[in-house]
Amino acid sequence: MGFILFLALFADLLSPFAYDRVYFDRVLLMPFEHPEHPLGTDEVGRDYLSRLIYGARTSMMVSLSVQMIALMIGLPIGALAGYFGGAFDFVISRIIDIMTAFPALLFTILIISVLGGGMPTIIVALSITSWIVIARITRAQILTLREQEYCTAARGIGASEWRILFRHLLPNAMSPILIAVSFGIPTVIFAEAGLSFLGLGVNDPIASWGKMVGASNAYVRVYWHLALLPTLAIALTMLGFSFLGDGLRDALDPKQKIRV
Amino acid sequence: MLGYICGRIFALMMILLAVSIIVFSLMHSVPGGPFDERKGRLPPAAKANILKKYGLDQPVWKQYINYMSHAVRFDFGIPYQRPHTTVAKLISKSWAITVQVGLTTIVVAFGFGILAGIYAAYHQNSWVDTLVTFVSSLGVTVPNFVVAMWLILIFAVSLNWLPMGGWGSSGQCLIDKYFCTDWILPVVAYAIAPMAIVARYTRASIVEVMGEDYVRTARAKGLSEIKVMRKHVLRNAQIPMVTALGTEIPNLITGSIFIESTFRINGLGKYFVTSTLNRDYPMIMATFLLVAFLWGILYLLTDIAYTMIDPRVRLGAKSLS
Amino acid sequence: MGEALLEVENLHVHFPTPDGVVQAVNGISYSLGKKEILAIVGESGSGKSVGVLSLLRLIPARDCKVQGSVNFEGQNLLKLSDPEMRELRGNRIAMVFQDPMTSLNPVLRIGDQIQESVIEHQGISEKIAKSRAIELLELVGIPEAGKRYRHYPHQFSGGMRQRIMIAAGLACEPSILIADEPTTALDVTIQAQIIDLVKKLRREIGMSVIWITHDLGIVAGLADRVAVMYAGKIVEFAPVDQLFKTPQHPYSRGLLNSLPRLDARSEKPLEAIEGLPPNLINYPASCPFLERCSYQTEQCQIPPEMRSITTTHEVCCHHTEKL
Repeated sequence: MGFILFLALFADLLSPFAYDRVYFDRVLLMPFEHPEHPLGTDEVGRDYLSRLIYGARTSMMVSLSVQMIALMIGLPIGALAGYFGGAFDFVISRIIDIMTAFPALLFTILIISVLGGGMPTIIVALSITSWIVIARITRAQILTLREQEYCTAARGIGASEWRILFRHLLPNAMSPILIAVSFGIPTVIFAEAGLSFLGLGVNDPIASWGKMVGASNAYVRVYWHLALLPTLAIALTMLGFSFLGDGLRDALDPKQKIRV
Repeated sequence: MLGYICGRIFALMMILLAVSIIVFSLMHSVPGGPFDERKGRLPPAAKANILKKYGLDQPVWKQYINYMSHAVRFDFGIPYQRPHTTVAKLISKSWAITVQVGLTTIVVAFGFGILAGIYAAYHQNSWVDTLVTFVSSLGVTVPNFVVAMWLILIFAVSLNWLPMGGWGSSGQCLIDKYFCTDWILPVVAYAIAPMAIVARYTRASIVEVMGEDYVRTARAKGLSEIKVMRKHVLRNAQIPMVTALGTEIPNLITGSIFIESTFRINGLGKYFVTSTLNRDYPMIMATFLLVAFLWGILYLLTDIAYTMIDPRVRLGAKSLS
Repeated sequence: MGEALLEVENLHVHFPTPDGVVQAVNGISYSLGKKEILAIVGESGSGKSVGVLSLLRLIPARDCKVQGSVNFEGQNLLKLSDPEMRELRGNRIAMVFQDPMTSLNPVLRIGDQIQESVIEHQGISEKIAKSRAIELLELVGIPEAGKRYRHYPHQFSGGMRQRIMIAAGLACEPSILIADEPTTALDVTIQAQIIDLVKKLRREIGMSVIWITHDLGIVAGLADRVAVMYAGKIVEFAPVDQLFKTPQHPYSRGLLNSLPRLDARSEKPLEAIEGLPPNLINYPASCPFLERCSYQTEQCQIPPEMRSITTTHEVCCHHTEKL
């Protein structure tokens, strides 16, 4: 994971070429065919290694910013809905019901079809579907925690409602929320790759693994590396983040009670 | 039971209504219509004419009511991409292929998944068990279009055993135009994730049930191992297996989009993508309603399946047992 | 008592684990006569359940090592093939387990669960099996048996479920019914009903019963003979009145003294047995009760052998005279 993050952070320094630099005379080179392009070039003559490295940046940028936004929206909304209940909780619960009434990915596609493609749209669209998960888990946590003894005890010694919520309840609710966030990262990586694969994702010339797989489809019979390398990158990254999530769950939730 | 099902269907209707309002208002909230990109070519009068033909010149709420009053009669309008057909016809045509892909996949995934899970449970720590664990952690995390690409690279490109794409067009079929060689790769790629999950659930639930007291009771009655498994273990292990089905529904629905795109299958998923790219509102709307409807029905069916397997479950009751 | 129906000789059950071998049962021998009720008493972990589970070979063979011999109707049960063993289970020797809440399959109708062993062993039709099952339900005292036959376990109370378990055990009219703490999970009043039921069935059907319990109070009103187990060994074996009147082993005495008595003066505190039973992985080379015994001497470093005090009373202690 560290490696992927490292690639993403220092993409400019690590890449031998710029991700959008086009060599018209070096189209569709096989790996090692040209000394300057160890992993070959794509269908318009861009260095594949550089595009893979920049793809890591796209993947990380989308997934991390989406989870950040989801956390910033979902956590307070879920906490308030769970703690105070009432009309606000009712509205939030119905929104959650409706949003879970069909696949999140379809909803993302709908938003993208309305807003158009591109990196900012993708981040917005994925955030809209991701905060639901965080809000649902936070709400459920707060609902159970607020019935606990120490909450009554805090109220008994005259703590304010806000203090109880932020000082007593939220810290105790954090583990499942963190686990949800860590499992959310590979979900978003998948969503971004999938959308770009379908042609609904980031716009050219930004490099995205999913888009590279999608573009390779027409050339795969001969230029197998175009398909193999980005699919490996997606698979390894997703596996890595899932293991991270599993590890975090084992560490924070030894009884494996939380389902994401 | 009947009252509960009616209640659920009513809730589903409400959700469909909410979904339609959300989708409709989202689609109409942004400036720019589906015919804007042809602006250069279309004279203003012609554009106004087209807008009128599709009713796009009216206020949004009127358009919505207009749309819904037709939709309840299964008239979902005319797709912008194909003006000579109707949405209902286009969907029913492409739908058949998607259902074929989906059903074959479900049969393969659940058939092999359950068998692998049972075998792994009865032979814990054998190589099959290790393989099931390995493939399932891979299948759960790796997206199906990635798996699809790998399968294409191995079986279509390197080995050249199977066609790279299509559906029922390879000419080598088991029955007429069904179960062709070009069905194999899409179905395997599509089935691997649910199969892995089903195998994992099956294994875990069988291992858990095998440790239950009533299985020991069954053995103490002198039943043969096969009878113990069939009558006592599997009956109970079905309960978590139905849960696996429930969690797999969303993946199956979205999965077909990627599979159809990778293998160039002209199913509903592919039309969904082209509709999105073209902002084909009637198509998008109809697809969304269909998916939301299907989703709700499938969840209702899983809940009903629970009551059939487990006599303790009473639908609509607050708590179990 | 008549001739022995079942004879257990020098039974050992050892479980190999990553931490070492757990010596759960260490050479127990006893016999069970026809129509006899034998109680096996001991605290949890004393090997009493494992001892009887291994008679029917219900512990998976890969998990444990069983040695010794179990003779029943001229056969050594430990040497039978798996199909031969299955033929006996539920048919000649039946078992009733501790927790009726978990020992019945929740998704099958109780009638089905009662009749399945008859169908398996006697090959009779479903219809005859059904009338047999309803008879059995009436025998164990379930009202409206014909209707209840079609119900599921969760529709019954704990006591009713244990009656169903017993009915299922009796289905093939076995010669031996092994009851592994059948009343531990039940209320005291229900407990008494189940005990009365088993005594009645013994009279009417004429079967022998091995009754596992940790509760000496139950034993007094039920059993003919009692075996007291401690750390995988039988430490005392006697007819029930002799054990209660003249307990010989310090552990049996301790158990009896820890029972609350209605006739004792209330100021006298109950005597608990101090300490814990030995670790079954590092089984002591001395008398296993040594560390908790107030009569210990040098001699106790050598583990005592079982010896007879009277014709019917056996004990495993060096110091029976002192007690």
